Parts: sequence; structure tokens; C-alpha cells
Amino acid sequence: MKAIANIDTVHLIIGYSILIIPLIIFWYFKIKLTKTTLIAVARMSIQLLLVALYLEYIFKLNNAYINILWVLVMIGVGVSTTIKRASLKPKYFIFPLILALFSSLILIDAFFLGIVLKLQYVFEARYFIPISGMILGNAMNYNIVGLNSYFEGLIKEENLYYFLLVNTNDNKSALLPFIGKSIKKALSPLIGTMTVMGLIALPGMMTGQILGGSPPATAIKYQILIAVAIFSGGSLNLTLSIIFSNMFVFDKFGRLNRKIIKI
Amino acid sequence: MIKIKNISLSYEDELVLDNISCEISQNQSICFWGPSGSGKSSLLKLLMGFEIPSSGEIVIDKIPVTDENIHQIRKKIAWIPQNINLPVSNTKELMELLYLDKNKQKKFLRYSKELNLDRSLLDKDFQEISGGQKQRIVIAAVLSLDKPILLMDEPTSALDENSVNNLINLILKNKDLTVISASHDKRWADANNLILHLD
Repeated sequence: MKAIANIDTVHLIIGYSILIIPLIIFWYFKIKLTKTTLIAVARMSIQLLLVALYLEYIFKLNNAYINILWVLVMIGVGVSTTIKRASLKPKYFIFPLILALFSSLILIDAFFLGIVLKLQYVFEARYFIPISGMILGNAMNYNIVGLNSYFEGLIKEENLYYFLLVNTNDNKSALLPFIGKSIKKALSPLIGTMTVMGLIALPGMMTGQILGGSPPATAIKYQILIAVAIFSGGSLNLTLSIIFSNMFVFDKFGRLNRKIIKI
Repeated sequence: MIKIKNISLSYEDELVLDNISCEISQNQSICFWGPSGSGKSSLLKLLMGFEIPSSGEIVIDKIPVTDENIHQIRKKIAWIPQNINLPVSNTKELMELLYLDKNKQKKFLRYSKELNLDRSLLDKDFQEISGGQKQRIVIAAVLSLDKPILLMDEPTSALDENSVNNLINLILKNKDLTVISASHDKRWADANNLILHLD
């Protein structure tokens, strides 16, 4: 297989110039997105440049402790982003969400890196960091949607929750419809994506691997596994996040503390 | 016996209930009567532990409504709220939601009949039936839970005159049930053993 065509700085800048199309659209239709778009592109470029620099360093070092520390930092950033974007109050959610994400990641990483990929050294930087990152990033997105839907549902449909709590006299039964609805809402987009994967959408990871020189068969196998890992990790993380959070947000009468969410 | 002793309830600076007391004997019915905002629904919520009184005490069958006893209290209570957006689309799913076993399902069918619900109606999707029919299905399902105390918030709000009469016969004339309700409906209130006026 031929080596991948390198992109020099000049051509990278030429690549950026294609952004003129959306910018003209924004200008023509008077859509106020120009500033936000330029900031987003600048942030993406700087962030990825920094990632390239430290990943190169971390990959060279390939030290288990540094790799674990890096993943822990990603967990911290993921949890704080989830809390902020799901409009939750940090003091109630930091501990349960960190515990949920940490537990989910240990299980999914151990399964895929240790059992499926049969790595002798599961903390190998080039596997451990990107795979953990993909699971974490996606799990974070599902958690934002899922937790927001769960707690908003409990607040807006308090009558239903109380109806079930009194009539079944069981906390779990009273919460089941809300948990089910939030998991369904959070995971449905990924189920949709998996359904059409390869037909109308070529996943980024697979495309990247093929461009990087991997045979398509290998890239596809990795893509299948990563999609399964993301789905399993996302559903486990959301379920654990709800279970662990429930320990902190209800009083002894089973009433939800309404101060936990900013709505 | 249910004892409501000198209950007061405030939301921030607003006094909703001021020193309310009453006693309801076993298998009696009482209707909390009063205009909107008089605290009728809040009083029902206090009985279930969904509101905490600012002062006073509620005792149900010699058990005070406290956080330690709430599980024991709720075991005795069935609850029908006024407006409820059920996450189910038919009667079968409603029975599953409330964990009605075969025995309770038989009771449900009996209560449905007494509430004038045709068997074919129970097979229909909730979107195909009226609000009143859906309310009667919910009432029949909750009754079949077989709990000794029934709390109801505006039980007749979506029902026609005939259905109200059926409901009075089925619930208020049931000698094994203690019924506590909040209502604006005079026919319903008058059919109770007691009326507690709230202003």
C-alpha cells in the first residue's frame, strides 16, 4: 500500500480556504454565525495542534502512569462538560458522574484492549489513549442528552412519578419509565448511525485508518469494534450515572431535590 | 383511623394551610372542599409525604407520617392524581406498569365493568378513547391494587353525570375503603361522609 500523501503548510492553508463557502452563505442570508464559526475553527486548530504535540510526546514515552493520568484528566474534563451542558449543579453530580465514567471505562477498556485485541500491555499509549478518548467523548455526549432528559422528565412529570411511587410503593418501579425514556433518547441517534454506517456515512476512524495506510479489512474490523465499544460504554455510563446520581438527589420521602438542575 | 393534627403548610412566605385538624375513621370518606389554591391538593400530598408540614402531625393507623415510616404508610395508600401523562399507550401496558398480577387483573375487569367500561374499549389504544374513559380505566386499575386507603384529586373532572354516579356507587359506597378526595364537584362532595371546608 502506498504511503499517505503528506499535507504541507501551504496546502493546509489552501484547505482552510474552502471555508469561504459557508462564510459567504452566512453573509448572504444574514446568518450571525461567522464569528462563532471562525472561533470554533481557530479553537479546533489550536486544540488539535496541541494534541498532536503532546500525543507525540506521550506515545514516545509510553509510560503506564502517564497514560492513566492522561485518561483521568479526560474523565475530569468530560464530567465537568457534562455537568455544564446538561444544566446540572456540580455539587450533586461530580462524584457520581466521575465514578460512573471511571467504572464504565475500566470495564470496556479491559474487555476490548485485554480480551478482544489481546494486548500484552493494555496501557499501550497508541491503543489505550485514542480508544479511551473515543469511548469517553461519545459517552459524554450520550450522558448530556440522557441526564438532561431524565431529570427534566422527573421535574416536569412529577405527578406521574408520585403516582407510580405511591401505587407501586417501589422507588425502582417509579423511576423505570423515566430511566427508559432517557436511555432511549440518548442512544437512539447512535443506533441510527450504526444502521446506516458504511452506506451513507463512512466513519471518521475507519477513514482515518485507511488514509493512514491500514488495509480496509483491518480498518473495518476496528470500526465495528469501536462502534460496539462506544455503544456499550455509552449505555453503561449513562445507566451508572443515573443509578449513582439517584443516591444524592432524592430525600428520604423519595422527593427529588429540584435545586439539582438549572431550568 | 387517620388523624390530621394542627397541620400548617407554607411555601416560602405564603401560608397554604393554617392549623388544619380532622379525623377520618376507617372506611369513611371525606372530601376536601374549597376554591382553587385553598390547599386541597397540598393536604393530599401531605398524607403521602410529598409535602412536609411546617407544623403539626399526620398519623395513619397509629403510624406517624415521617421519613422512617413512609414506606409502611405508602403500602396502605392508592393515589389517583388529577392530570397524569401516562407513559403507556393501552390498558395492557397500564396493568404492567402497576404490576397487576392475574388476581388483580380479574378485579380490574370487575371494576371496569362497574364503571361502565366495555370490554372492547380496554383493547383500544389510549389515543382512540376519550379522556373520561381513560380516567375510568386508571381508576379501575388503581382500585384493583387493593389498598385500604384511596386518595383522589378531582376524581370527577373528566367524567359525565352518569360516570360520576357509577364512581360514587363504586367508591364512596364501598365499605372496605377509606376515601380521601379533593374536589370542586358538589355531587361528589355531598356523597362523602364528611366534608372539610378549606378557604
